[in-house]
Amino acid sequence: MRNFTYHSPRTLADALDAARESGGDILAGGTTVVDLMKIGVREPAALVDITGLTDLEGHEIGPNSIRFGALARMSVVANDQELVAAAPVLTESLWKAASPQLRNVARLGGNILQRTRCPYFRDTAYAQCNKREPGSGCAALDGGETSHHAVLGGSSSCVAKYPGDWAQALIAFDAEVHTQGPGGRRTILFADLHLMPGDTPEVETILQQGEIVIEITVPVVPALKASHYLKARDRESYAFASASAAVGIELDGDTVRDVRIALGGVATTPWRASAAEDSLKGSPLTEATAREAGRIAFAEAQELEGSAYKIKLGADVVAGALMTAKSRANGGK
Amino acid sequence: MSHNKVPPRAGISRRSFLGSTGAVGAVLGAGTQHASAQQSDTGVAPNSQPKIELTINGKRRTLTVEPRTTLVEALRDNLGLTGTKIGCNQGQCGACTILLNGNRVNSCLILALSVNGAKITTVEGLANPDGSLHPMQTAFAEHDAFQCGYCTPGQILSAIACIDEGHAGSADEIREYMSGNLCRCGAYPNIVAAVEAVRDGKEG
Amino acid sequence: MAQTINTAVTRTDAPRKVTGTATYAADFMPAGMLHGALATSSVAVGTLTGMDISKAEAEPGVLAVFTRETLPDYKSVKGFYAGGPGSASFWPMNESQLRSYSAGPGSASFWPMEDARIRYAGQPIAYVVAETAAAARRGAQLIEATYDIAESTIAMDPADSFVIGAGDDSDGMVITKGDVAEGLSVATQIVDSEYVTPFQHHNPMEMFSATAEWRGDRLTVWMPSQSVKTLRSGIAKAYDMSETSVRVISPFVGGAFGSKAGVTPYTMLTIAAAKAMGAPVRLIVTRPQMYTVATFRPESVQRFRIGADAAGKLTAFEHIEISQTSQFDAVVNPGTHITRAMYACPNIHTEQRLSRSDTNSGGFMRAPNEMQTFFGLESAMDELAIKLGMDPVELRRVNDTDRHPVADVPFSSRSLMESYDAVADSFGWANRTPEVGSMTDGDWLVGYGCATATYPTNILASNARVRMHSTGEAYIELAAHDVGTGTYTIMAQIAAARLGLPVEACDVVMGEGDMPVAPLAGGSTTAASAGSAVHDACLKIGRQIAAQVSAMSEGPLSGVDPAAITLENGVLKASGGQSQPLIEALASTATGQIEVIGEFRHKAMTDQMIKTTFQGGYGSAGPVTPEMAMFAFGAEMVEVRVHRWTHEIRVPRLHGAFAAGTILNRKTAHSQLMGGMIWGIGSALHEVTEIDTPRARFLNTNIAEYLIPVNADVREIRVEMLDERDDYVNPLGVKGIGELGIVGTAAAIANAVYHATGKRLRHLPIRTSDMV
Repeated sequence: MRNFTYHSPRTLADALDAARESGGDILAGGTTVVDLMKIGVREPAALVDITGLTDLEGHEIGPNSIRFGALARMSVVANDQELVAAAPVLTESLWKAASPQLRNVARLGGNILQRTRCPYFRDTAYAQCNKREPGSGCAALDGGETSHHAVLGGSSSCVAKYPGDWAQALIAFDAEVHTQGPGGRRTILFADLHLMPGDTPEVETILQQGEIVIEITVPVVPALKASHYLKARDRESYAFASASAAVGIELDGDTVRDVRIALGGVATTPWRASAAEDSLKGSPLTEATAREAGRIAFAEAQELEGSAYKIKLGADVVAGALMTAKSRANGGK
Repeated sequence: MSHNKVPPRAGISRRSFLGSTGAVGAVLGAGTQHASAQQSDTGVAPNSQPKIELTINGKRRTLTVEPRTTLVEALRDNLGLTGTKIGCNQGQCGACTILLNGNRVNSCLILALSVNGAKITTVEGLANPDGSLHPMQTAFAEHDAFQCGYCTPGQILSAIACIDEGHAGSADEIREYMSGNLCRCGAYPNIVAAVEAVRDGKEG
Repeated sequence: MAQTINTAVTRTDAPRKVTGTATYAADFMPAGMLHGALATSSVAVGTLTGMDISKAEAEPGVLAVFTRETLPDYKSVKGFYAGGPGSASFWPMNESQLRSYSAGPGSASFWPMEDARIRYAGQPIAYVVAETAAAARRGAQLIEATYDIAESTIAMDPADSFVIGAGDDSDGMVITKGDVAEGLSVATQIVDSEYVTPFQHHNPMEMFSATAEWRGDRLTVWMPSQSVKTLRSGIAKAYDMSETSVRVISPFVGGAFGSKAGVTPYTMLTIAAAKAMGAPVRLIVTRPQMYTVATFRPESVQRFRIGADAAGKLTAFEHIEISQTSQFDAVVNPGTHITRAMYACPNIHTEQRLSRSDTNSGGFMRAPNEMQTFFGLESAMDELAIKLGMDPVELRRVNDTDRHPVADVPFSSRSLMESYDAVADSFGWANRTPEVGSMTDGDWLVGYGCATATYPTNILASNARVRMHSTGEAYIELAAHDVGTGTYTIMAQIAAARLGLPVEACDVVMGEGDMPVAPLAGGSTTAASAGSAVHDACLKIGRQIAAQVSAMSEGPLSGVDPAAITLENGVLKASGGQSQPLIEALASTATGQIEVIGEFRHKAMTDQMIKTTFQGGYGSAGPVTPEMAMFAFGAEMVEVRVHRWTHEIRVPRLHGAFAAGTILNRKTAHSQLMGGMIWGIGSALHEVTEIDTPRARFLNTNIAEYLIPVNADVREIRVEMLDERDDYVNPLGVKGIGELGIVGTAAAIANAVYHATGKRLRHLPIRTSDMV
C-alpha cells in the first residue's frame, strides 16, 4: 500500500476542506478503500477519515421517509426489527451481503459506492482495464473469462459488474442520496448516482472529487412492506450474487397496483427493471406473469460467452422474488 | 427497458437532515478517539510515526504506527500479540477477527490510526487472570471445533460476538452468522455445536 | 490405566489452540527481523528484458531489492533442483506398483530467478527486504518489469498427451489385463463418458511463510511444513551444508493439504536474502501469490468405458486419465492405480497420461490421485446403474471383490459393502424413489446420490524417540507433523496406552528437522507409520526394563525369563502370572528413566524405500505389496436440493461410513473424515481456479472468489467409523483417514443432482449456472 497523509476531521466543514486540499479519497468503514489500496488499484496521496463525523451515524423510520445516515453501519441497520417489518428488502439486502465482521465496519454511504470485483480491474498485472487505466482496453472482452460479468449495461469498453446488494433495494424504491461537496449540498436520485460505463468506465458515479455522501432517504410506499431481496449465489453465505432481485409489490385485490423490480449481480450499475414493472401494473400477479416479467427484465441483455446463464437465472430470480413478495402482500412470510 | 441514466447535474439539496439525531446504533463507534495527539490541520504525514493508544485486553498500550499500518499488523508485529492470525489480509476469511469496542471486525482492513483510543479484545484476553478458560474456549476444545487451529482465535471471538449480538438463536442462524470465518479443515458442525453449548450455558 | 486407543480424547494441543499460544511459523519473530516480499511476473511465457527497481529502492523503509543478478549465494541453490524430474532422488523407482513421478522436494525442477526466462505467470522475479511488511509489499508493487512476451497456454490440450515412464506393465502407468474390446462386445450396457475436473488450489488458512536467520554458518528456518525432514535435507543440499547445521522448526501448521510438503523457491529466496542482509528475514506470501509460488491440483480429463452384463457384472473396464503438468516437469498423480483396484472385472485397461501447459508444476492436493478419478469412476458407475435399471448400491455389491482385480492378491481388509449397508441405514436410502425428479419439498427439487470412497494405505519407515521417567512422565519426540490431524494427541495416546500413563503425562514434541525421522504428513501415513514407531519404542522400553528387573535379586519379576515377559497396558506380565507395573519396575532401576528409539519397518519395505524416506523422500510400501493390497474403504450418501427459482444447489445431509482399520482417537478421526467430506462438498459445488486464457493466468486468486464452503453450506454431516481389524498393514492396524472422506463426495453429489434434476453434470464444480 502506498503510504498516505491521514486526515481525521471532526466536522463536515473540515472534512470537505481536507478532501479539497489534499485531493484524497474519503475513508469511512474502509472495507473497499483499504482493500483497493492494499492491492495497488487505488493509490491516493491522502485519506480523509470521516468516521469522526458521528452526526452521520444512525437511521430513522419516519412516516413518509426512511432516513439513513451515511455512516450508519450495515449490521446495525440490518438488525433493526422495526425496519425488518417495515421494509424487508432494505434489511435482507444488507444481511445477505458480506459477513458479520464486514457489516460491523462498512457504512451505508460507502456500501453504495463499492467497486466492482472484476478480477481484471483488481489485479494490476493485467495491463488492460479501461476502468483502472482509461484507454488501456478490456481484458475481459479480449478473450477473458466473463462468467461473472454483466449482461446489462455493458459497453465495448467495460462489462464489470456492480457487486453490491443494498443498492438494488434503493433504486427499486426511488431512494435519494444527499451529498455535500465543493459545490454545496445536493440531492441526487439514486437512479442517477451510478453511471453506465459507456466510453468512460473509470467514471462510476456523478459524485465529484471531495463530495461526501451525507445521507440516503427512501420514500415510504406500501410496496415496501411486501418487499423481498432474493439473492442467488453459489455458496450459501459470504458470496457475491450470481443474480439477485429486489422487489416490492402493492396489490389491489388480485391486481398489481405498484411493483418495484431491480436487478443485482447482472448489470454494470444498480439496475431498475422498469419495463418489467410496467408489464405487471394493472395485471394479476401469477407465476406466469411473474416469469414473463423476469423475461422482460432481461429482454435487452447482451449475452457474454461466460455469463449467458445469468439471463435465464436472473429472470427466474425475479419471478421467485415476486412470488415471495406476493405472499407477503397477502400476509405471508 | 432499464431506467435511463442521466448525465451529471449540479444541484443543491432541497432539504437536509444533517444534525438530526439517529439514536439507533450510535454506540458502535463509542470509545474511539478521532483526534491523534500529533495531528495538525495538515494531517498525519505519510512516513511519520504517530503515537496511538489502544486499550488491549484491558491494558493500555501505546505504539507508533504509519498511516498505512493495519490493526492486525500493529497487534502482531508491533506488539507481539501473535494470537490474532492473518489468513488473507483482504477481509475475505475472518482469521484476523478481533473485538473492537465490543464488536467483531476484520482487523486486516482497519487502519490502526483510525481506531486510536479504542478498546480491543484479542484471543489473548479471553482467559481469566487465573488461567481458566473462557467458556467459548472450553467449548471449542471439547467439541473439537478446529483441526489445524489457525482460524480458531478468529472463530472464537466471532462466536462470542455471535451470541452477544443475539444471532445464536438456532443452528441455522449460527451457521449464517458464523459464515464470516472460513475454516479450511471443515470443523463447521463442531463450531456450531460449541456455540450452541455456550449459548445454553453448558460450558464454563 | 485406562485403554486410550479407540476412544474420544480431546486434543492435547487444544489449550494452546484456543488461547492463541500455539505458535505457527510466522509467529516466530527473531530479534532484528526484517520483512520480505516477492515481486512476480505479470506475463506467463517470455523473457525478462528489464527491471526498474529505482522506485522500489526509493520507498521509505525499503532496505534492499534483490534481482537474479544481485541476490548472492542464490546460484548455488539450483543444483539441487536442476536435472528435470528430481524424482529419482525423491520417489522410490521400480519398487512399488504405486509410484509417482514428481519434481522432487523442490516442487518444481525449474528455479525462478535462475535466468531471464519466464515460464509461468506469477513466477518470482525480485525479492524486496524492508523494515516493515507494508513497506516490503509496497516495494514489490513498485517494481516495473519489461518482457519479451511469447505465446502461452494455460489450459492443457487433452488431444496432445503422453505417457511418462517405461510404458510397460512393471511401470504401472499403462496396464492391460484381458481384452477390453472383447469385454465390451459381450456387455449388455456400456457407459462411455468423459469427466472433467478443474485446477484447484489448497488454500490453507495459514498463508505460506518462511523466516530465516543465519548465525555464522548455522541456519534456522521457521516455515510451515508437512515434511521438516525434506525441508532440512533440501536446504542443506542446496547450500552444501551439513544437515546438522540447519535447524527447521514447524511445531504447528495452519492447514497444508499438500501445499506445504516441499522446499519451495520462496524459502530459498528468503534464506538467501537473510544471508545477504545479515539479519533475519520473514516472508509472508500474499494470498494471490499463493496461487503461483507453490503447487496445486492439476486439471484433468477422466475417460471411462465400462461394460456390464445384464446382472450388472463388469465385463470391461477402461480408464484413461489425462492430467495437466508444467512444461518443465512431469508430475503424475496416478489415479488409475486406484480406480483399477476398485471392482472385479476380467478385462481391464488403464492409462496414465499427461498434457503440458504453461504453469508452475502442480503437485498433490488432498486425495491427489482419488478426488478427480473417483468423481469420474463413481459418476460412471451411477450412469451404468441407471442404464441397467439397478439400484446403484446393488451395482457396487455385485462387483465387490476380495482380491485386487489386477495384482490378484487379497485385500488385507476390505469392508466396502459393510460401509454401504451402514450408511444406507443411517441415511435412509430405502426412502429414495429412483425416478428422476420424483422427490420434491416445496420449491426444492430433492435428489439422493451415493458413491464409493477408497484410499490406499501407504506405509513408510519411521523412527520415534520415547523417554520414560519413573515420576510418571513420558517424552515422545519425532519429526512428524500435526497439520490439524491430531498427531500430537494420538502419539500421546499410543504411548499412554502402552506405558500405562495418563495421556496428559505424555509430552509429544514434533516438527523439527533434527528429530528422529518420521514420514511426510501426506498420503494419510502419519498415524500408521509414525504411530507404529512410537508403539515399537514403548514395547522396547518394556523389553529393556523387563530384562533389567528380571536380572535383579529381588522384585516381583526377579529371575523370570525376560523373553516370557510382555508389556500390557503399562504392566509387565510374565507368562507364569507374575507382574509388575512398568512404572514401578522403572523406579527400581538405577537411573529411573529410559530412552529408546522405536522403529517401524514393514516386511514389504525394501531397503531403497527406507533409504528414500530417510533422505526426506516418500518411500511408501504399498498400497500393493507382493502379498496384499492395502486400502481403506467407505461409502457416502447425500441429499441434494436444487431450488426452482434461484437454481442454487445445497447439501442438507451428507452421511458417510468408513472402515479404515483401527481408529486411534474417535474425536479427531471424526473431525478428519468430516473435514474430508466438507472438502468434497467444496470440490463438487464450489472450488475452481478460474483461468484467463489469453494471458495464461490463474484468475480468481483470492478466497472471496475462489469459493470454499462456509459454515452455512454445511448442515447435517454424519460420520460412522466401522470396527475393522487389519493385522497386515502395521502393528497398530491403522489404515489412515486423512483423505478418505473427500474421495466419494463429489460423485455422490453429482449423482444426487442427476436424481433431482435429470441433469448429468460431467464436470466440476457443478454450479448454479449449470442448473438453468
